[in-house]
Amino acid sequence: MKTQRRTVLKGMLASAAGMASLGLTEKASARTVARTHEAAGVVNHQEIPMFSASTRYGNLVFISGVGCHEGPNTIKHHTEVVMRELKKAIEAAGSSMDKVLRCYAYVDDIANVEGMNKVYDAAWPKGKMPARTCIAVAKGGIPGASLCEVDAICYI
Amino acid sequence: MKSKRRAMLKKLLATAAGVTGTASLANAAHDAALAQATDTFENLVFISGVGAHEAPFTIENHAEIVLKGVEASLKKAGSSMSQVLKAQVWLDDMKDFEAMNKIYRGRFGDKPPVRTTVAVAKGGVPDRSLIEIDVIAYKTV
Repeated sequence: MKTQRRTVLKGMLASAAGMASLGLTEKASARTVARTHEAAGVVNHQEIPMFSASTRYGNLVFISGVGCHEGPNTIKHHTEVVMRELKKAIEAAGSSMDKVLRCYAYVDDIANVEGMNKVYDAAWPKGKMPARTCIAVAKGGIPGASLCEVDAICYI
Repeated sequence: MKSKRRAMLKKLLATAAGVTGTASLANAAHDAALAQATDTFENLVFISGVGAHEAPFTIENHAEIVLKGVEASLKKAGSSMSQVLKAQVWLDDMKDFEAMNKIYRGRFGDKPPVRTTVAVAKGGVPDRSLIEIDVIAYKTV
């Protein structure tokens, strides 16, 4: 128990030192920084790369907006599909639902916010809900006639 | 008034630099602290939304102007189009989606950024732009 606590303390001190040295170039340059990024699930438009399902830079992972393009056209069903596919995309990129930092959630009708929230809230592990910004865009303003769309930034 | 504003801006920049690293202005002579076009944190680069405000008001022309503007901001920040991780596309009208795609595709190399596209309220992009794009990228140091 004691050693465990000591290790934790050591870890805390190390990260505190790391944070304190952020402004110092010599220390900063000693840290490993990703030189390039990876992209997965590249979507082509007439054989020309348009966007990726996910990109990864160091430990940061970005997930493209996910919509729902099937019936029934209810906010419950669309949000269920969106959150299921978002989870798949996050996991395919090597992250998980408990490591999401921020989401943007869009609905094409503000009347659907409550319905979306019911499904959205339940999709996250307890205590791990990411920061979120939610807005209603123009009616029909989400590609492929989706009633909602969610994107994410997470980590590994 | 102008020098006062500039001094304030300088102070703001100094604070921003102290907190997050470096910050650069779109145009130092340009009015307002609103106009900060890029910000960086370690190797990450954040680019403000770029719109188009000139005729012809076609999605082809506006998308072209906006993508070139994003590229210019990235270069200024020491990054490039092929180092963009995430793009957010705001359209004035969903009917422009396909035409936008034709201009947008291929601009970011073979590892393109993730993307989220939505159409906002009609006339909802500042200054009558038909499209606005912001991005998160990184730079090689």
